[in-house]
Amino acid sequence: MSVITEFQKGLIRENPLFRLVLGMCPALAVTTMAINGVAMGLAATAVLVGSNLVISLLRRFIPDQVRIPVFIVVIASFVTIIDLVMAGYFYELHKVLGLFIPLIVVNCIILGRAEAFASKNNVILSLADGLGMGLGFTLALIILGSVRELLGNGTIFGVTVLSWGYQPALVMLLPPGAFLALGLLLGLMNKLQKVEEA
Amino acid sequence: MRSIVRLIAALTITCAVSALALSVIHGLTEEPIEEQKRLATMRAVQEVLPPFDNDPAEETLMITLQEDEVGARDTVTVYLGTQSGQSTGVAFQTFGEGYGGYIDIMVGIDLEGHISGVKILEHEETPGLGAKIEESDFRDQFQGKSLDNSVLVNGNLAVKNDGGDLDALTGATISPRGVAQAASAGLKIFARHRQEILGPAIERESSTGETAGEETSPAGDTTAVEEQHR
Repeated sequence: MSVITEFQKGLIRENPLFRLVLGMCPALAVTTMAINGVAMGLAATAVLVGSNLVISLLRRFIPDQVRIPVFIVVIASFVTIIDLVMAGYFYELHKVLGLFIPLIVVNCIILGRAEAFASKNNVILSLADGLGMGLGFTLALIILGSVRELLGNGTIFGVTVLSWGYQPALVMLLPPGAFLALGLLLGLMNKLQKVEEA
Repeated sequence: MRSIVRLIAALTITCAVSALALSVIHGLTEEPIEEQKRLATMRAVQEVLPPFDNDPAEETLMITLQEDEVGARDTVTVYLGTQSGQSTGVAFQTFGEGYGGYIDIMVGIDLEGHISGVKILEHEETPGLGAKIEESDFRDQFQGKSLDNSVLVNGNLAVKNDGGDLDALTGATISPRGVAQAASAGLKIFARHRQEILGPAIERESSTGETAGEETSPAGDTTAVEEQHR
């Protein structure tokens, strides 16, 4: 139960998106471009680290019966803070993601980590868990966003990769493309894991 | 009984602390957010106006639309561009209906009623498809368009699919249609309120003899001037 293990597990072994399959709503909605994945992932990470920290600190004072409402209030406060800060200092990005930021409140990863980890572990471990899970989520969104952007627009992070002779598959940028890309990536991850185990 | 008190206390304290934190953050970010919005608007104004050397943020006027006018809020803030004291054009915000919702644009129009630029302010179009209305490749085709030199459909600028002369985007017709609608609304509003907007400027032009017949009309008496036009 070291800090390093808690941090690492979120990246791949228990990756929230590819392994725990949590937080599907923002994952599918915003990943039309790789850069959106970065922004959404980092915003969720900030909320996750903040809420894990506060909930871990409060874990002895929160009566069990009302823990869920308390968690939600803490999470919603962090989301609102992130929303306001982004609107004030990263206006262009906020215009793109604005609609999805409030959705972080109902992102199951955040409540899930509060309930499953932060409410039972000390502050240091909870921070490591939040950071690892958040970065794992970010990584997954970047991969998903890159795949969709590449196939749907021929670019990654706005840089043209497939130019000549490639007809972009617009469907990858539309909602069905999100499911296709996620399904294929999940399948690939499972395959890789089996190879590793064998 | 004691446990209930404890539950209530826990929830109340959590909410109170959270409310306090949020009001502090709100207070801190309120100004930057307003400033960002203002800057975004002014960037758009500067991009679409014909050449100017004044500060359009300082020279604005409000016009109130009549009930039968569409495509803008009831009260429109018009930014005026002038060069060496002479009006060169105006910019104001209009909207059209896109695929995902309303498309807000800033439209710049020169004194002859030609579009000098179009900039998308806000939209909810599909990323990668309709959202390409933001790109200059698409927006630039509006430059120079007017109600006189374009193919109009029902009195509006229109995309080729609808019989007009504007190029749509690959895989997206509705979003470009929304922009065309917003741009047309801008041209119509300008045509109708020209006197009101450029009142003083018209006065100046008239002294150079360009609109000689109107010299006697005082700038404020716009209805009389409009009657003469008709």
